[in-house]
Amino acid sequence: MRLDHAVRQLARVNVAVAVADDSRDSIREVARACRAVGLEHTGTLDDVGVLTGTALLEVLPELRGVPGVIAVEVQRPFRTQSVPGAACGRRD
Amino acid sequence: MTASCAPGWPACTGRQLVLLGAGTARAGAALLHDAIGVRLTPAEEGACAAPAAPAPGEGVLFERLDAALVGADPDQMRALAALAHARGMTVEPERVLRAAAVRSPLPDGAHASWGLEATGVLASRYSGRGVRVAILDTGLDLQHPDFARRAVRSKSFVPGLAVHDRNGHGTCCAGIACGPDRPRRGARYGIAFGAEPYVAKVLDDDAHGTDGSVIAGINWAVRQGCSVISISLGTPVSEGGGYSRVYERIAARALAAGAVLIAPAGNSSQRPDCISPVEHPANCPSVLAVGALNQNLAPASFSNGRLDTGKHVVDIMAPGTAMRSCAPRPTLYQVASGTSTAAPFVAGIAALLAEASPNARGAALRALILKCARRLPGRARADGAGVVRAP
Repeated sequence: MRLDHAVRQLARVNVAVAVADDSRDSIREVARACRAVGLEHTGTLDDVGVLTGTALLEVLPELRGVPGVIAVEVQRPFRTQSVPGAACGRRD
Repeated sequence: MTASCAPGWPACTGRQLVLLGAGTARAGAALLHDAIGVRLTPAEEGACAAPAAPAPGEGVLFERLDAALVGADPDQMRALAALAHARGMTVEPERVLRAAAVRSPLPDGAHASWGLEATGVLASRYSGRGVRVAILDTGLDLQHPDFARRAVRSKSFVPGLAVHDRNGHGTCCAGIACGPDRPRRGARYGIAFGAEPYVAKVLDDDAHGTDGSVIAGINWAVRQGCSVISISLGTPVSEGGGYSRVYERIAARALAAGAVLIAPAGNSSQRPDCISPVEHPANCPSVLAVGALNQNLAPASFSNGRLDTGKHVVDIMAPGTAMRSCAPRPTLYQVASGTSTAAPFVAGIAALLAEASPNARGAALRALILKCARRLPGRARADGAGVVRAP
């Protein structure tokens, strides 16, 4: 039972949820609806109309169906864009 | 599977890096043990050195990162791939990262700032005065002598870390965009010396980050009224894969709020044989994608962006090799290459244009940046609007 729970939690991912333009004024209601289908809501970014949080992979389709949601994406890792070996810590 | 076309880099160690679900490190360790027989040992708290290479069947658990480094024989590798597919885990070959070593001698005098001359910055009467410029990166050495007297607004979006930059990448980018006209030492390297820098730390001191912190940084910059937002980071995209709908919406909203997002095209090309597509998030149509030029004003060998279907081509080019800028103390100055340096270069010139045209903000400023660029003969479409140009 515990292992089953652990396995389910492994499929939990960080997500970014874009809210539709005509729902930005009611972003808190959209967030509430997202929580109801399984979003562990961690942030509301009012100025760009995005909710952040974590969710199980299996609830992403439901999350995409929440009224006012236009896109749900799993967060990506980033790196900087310097050429390896090109930066030099030389003093001058 | 990414579209990077740089064979041999990054080289891989043969071990596998397993990204577990957020907050599930211990449960993940139990699963890896039960499902494929890999025994994970916790990495030592506070250890700085890399853990010893795990043999097949053994691994190291990075609890705070929800990640594990796993040694797997071919059977275990197959089981791991199946497990990852079933459980939504990410498995990547561990890459060998090269140390940031000196690759070329520091150019002397004016040559160190070749890009400023080539794009008309040195001759411009504008400094970006009154324009708010956000730099989203690894932070800034706020006490650097070239910034200590500037009114820098800053905020960290990396839990547990202050804005102070221990990596050097963010300080380099902030210096190119907003560095002073008269640095403590050496030739000028900064463009918008009169602009108001807004520094958001969205990558940790190992230059790692995720969409969550970057989006939070963009949100902050928009709220602060920044007209220009430089984000010198990216991640490869799948061959033929589309752009992020979330980022495209964010970038469009930023434009509507008066802010232009500027991002690097990426460095995974090996021109002329192989040119990779523009990376995320620069590949979003509303984000200004910047490619890097060398000192001959030709695309740098590593610079991404090709003529292709979709948005796999850059919007504009800017100097991006042998770029002098500042570095965190005690180093103070550095020379760097990459589309990472080209993006803040465009951000700096965008601030000059914003000062020169106070009514041009958002989409109008973006259009002005492209309109003022100089097209390079013979390479019209692949270089977008051409080389960025100061007013």
